[in-house]
Amino acid sequence: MRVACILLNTKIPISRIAEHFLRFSPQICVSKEALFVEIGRSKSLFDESIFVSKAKRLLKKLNIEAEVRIAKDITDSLAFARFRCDELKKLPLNSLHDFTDPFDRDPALRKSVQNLINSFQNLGIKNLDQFVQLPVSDLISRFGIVGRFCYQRVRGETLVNWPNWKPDEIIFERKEFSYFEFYGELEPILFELKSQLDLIFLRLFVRGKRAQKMEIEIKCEKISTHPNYIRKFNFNFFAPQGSTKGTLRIFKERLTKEFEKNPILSPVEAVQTTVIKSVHYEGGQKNIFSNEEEKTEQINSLHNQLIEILGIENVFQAELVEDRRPEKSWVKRFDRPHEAQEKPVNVSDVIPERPTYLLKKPIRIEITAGFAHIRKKRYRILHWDNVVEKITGGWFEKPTEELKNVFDRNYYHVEIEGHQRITVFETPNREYFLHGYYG
Amino acid sequence: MGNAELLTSLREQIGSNQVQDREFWKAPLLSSGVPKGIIVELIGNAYTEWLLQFFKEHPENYIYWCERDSSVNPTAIYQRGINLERIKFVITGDELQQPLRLALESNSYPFLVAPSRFDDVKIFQRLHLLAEKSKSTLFFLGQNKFSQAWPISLQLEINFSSDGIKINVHRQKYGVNK
Repeated sequence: MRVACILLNTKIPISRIAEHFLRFSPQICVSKEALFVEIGRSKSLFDESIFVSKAKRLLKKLNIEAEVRIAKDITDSLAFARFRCDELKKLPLNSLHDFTDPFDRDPALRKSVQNLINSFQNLGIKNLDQFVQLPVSDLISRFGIVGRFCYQRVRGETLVNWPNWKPDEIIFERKEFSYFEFYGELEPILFELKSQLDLIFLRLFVRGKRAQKMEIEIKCEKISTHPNYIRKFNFNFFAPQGSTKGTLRIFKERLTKEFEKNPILSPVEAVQTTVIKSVHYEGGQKNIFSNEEEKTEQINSLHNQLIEILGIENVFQAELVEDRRPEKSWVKRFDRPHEAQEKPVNVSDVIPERPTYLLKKPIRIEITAGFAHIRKKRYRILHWDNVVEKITGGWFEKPTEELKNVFDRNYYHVEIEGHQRITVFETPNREYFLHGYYG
Repeated sequence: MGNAELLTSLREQIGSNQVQDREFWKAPLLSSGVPKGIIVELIGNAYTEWLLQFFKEHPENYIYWCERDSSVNPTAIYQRGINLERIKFVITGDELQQPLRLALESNSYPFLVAPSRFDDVKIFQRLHLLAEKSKSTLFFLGQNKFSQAWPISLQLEINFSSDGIKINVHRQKYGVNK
């Protein structure tokens, strides 16, 4: 057995890289940071040096930094790649982690092995050559089963099981049109997309999955006046999609906007829909006593469409936070719609009643005897509530520095003519600002 | 007594009141209630306060709250006894019609709130049909004047007064809740 280890220095989903190495061997497995390719049975196709050069070229093409090493087993190749060494005996004692837990699955084992490494380093044992020369009986008496396990792994007496890895299944539907069938109008494309989505969702349903990311590719005839003849649209759904109706609406939104901006100038040759990422979904039989599940699905589908039209920042739930300033007393929440929130503090007990509307920026107003001057208009004050809410802060966070965001406001509730109620605050400079109104 | 109430009482006197088969929401300070599946227009300086009292009376239902820019204060809404989990806030900018249409078509929101920005009666007609189908009540928050569009079934002027909130019914197509 000859195993090539590709230890990645770049953070990237390893499964995506592993697919590219299927050209060398079908026997591949992946860990959190490395992928392993069994190349012993492919030696009549290429030798090891050719594999290394081809792998490096491939990684360079993919813009990935990685260390490639070949050895007789997963553990050896991983240790060689990590410590950039080709001799087992020269490997430092720290490489014992790669021998005992190459897939980084057992934190308890790693802790025990680290204790063993620390003890031996204190005794002056620095590398594996010195380690394997120790009598195995001493290892067992001092470190028990962990000591024996390390010894056996380094000497290659026990092998690591090869975990199963399969490339992600790609679900896609494609339709090629006969020549000059139509000139890229939206309706026929949507009609085709609908039938493709029907098939795709059927395929996902039987697998117990839903689409999280999808891609549409529209290929047009290549002509000199139409440079962008292949159009790709990527969709990353807020909530996984399981039905054609909702998904098609999202597609329609995007395609309508895109076709308005960049019309298609040559006949459409093919339309392809691909599921880039799918997620597991607990399906099961429909609950005939409750339609809660369908409702949630409808709301998620609507949420997806709104995000597509208005952008994620414009569709939100509100959550209260503990800040006295009216404008900072709540935050936007963009996660799942209508999901239960943590119970907020009982604000009614803590703060006085707030106005229903807040101005984006407080407006400077003038208060004269019995009148409020707002935007050059004079309003008679009917009632000035003497209950003051004092909001101050910022200064206590960095008391020695001069801060810009220090605030010191005295809030008053005022009723002006027409029984309009407003909220006014006064600063230490005796300036008045309109901050909100009751509506 | 507003025009609509006067009309209803006169109809009652001559016995020509049509029997309504509509479902109604119970509403504070409005004995007739608010029919389901209609467009309501509100003006005045206390409509949001009244609307929040109305939503408080129906705590099970989700609310879809559209605004041009974010100006409504969620803290105030919570203080009026409404759970914020119920409300989906949507900042529409100039694109109001489509988000409203999608929400009505989804049948998920019994209450929708939006600024009154349409002039075209066809848009009101379209929204009215969708509201009727989904049995959602769409509240348009107006500024100073009521719209003349006929698909608006209920128009209320709600103001603060020295006695609290006062409602004047300007138009009431579906009459009193029987």
